[in-house]
Amino acid sequence: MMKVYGEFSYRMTQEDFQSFISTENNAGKLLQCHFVALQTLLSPVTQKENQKITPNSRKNDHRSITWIDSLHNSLPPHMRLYNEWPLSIFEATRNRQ
Amino acid sequence: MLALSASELSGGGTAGIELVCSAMSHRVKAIQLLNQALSRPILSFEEGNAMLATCYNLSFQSALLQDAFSEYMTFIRGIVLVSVHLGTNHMRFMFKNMMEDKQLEIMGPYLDLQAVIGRDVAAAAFLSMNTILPFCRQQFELSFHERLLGLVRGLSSSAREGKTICLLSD
Repeated sequence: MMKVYGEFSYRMTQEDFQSFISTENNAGKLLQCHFVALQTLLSPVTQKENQKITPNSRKNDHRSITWIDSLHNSLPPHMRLYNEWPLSIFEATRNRQ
Repeated sequence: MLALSASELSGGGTAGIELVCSAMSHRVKAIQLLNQALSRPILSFEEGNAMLATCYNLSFQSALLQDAFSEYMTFIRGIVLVSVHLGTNHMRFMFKNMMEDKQLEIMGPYLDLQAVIGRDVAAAAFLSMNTILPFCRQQFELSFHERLLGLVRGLSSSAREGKTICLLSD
């Protein structure tokens, strides 16, 4: 995960980063959605919850998963089928809360 | 800190619109002041570390906002840039563990969990990553895709072997 963070934190030039997060870059959005989904799967909170669902799990713990929903809705309709897997992670996480 | 606190509190579901507006108002002000600070040289370690703390707070707040992933990444970049600037100017870090491998050590207890990611999930992730590869045309997109694929391969190994694998370093 640190290498992934390193990729956009310092390996990308400012120009590449601006292109990566551009609202017109659909490839960038797909990559970002997959990243958020993977990060959610790998987070210690998610892993603990998978083992034992606690009634008192804080609703704030997975608010970042809503990034996927926002990015998904910004994709053109014909591109959204390529985002089905991250969307499934978002819906599964949301339903657990 | 006010921005982060307001956003954290507004996630409880019963917060009024005033708290949400307050969160955004403080956020906007913090970003404006941070931009001003970044436009001039950092003259003291207090100022540099205050900027670092601001970047951290704003990135944490971004994690609480629905449409803020690009801002989240931007503030992470800010943390790195300010840190490098402090380092090259021999200014002291207050966030001592940030740039060291010790953070893996600190995260150790959280990683001592048997991977519970099923094989189906790992396989679906791998398939999805391969499906989006043709859309990645620029070198930075291909590099980012490769890094994510490395994580997915780790998920696949973990699910297959049932071992705890430290994926934070990948």
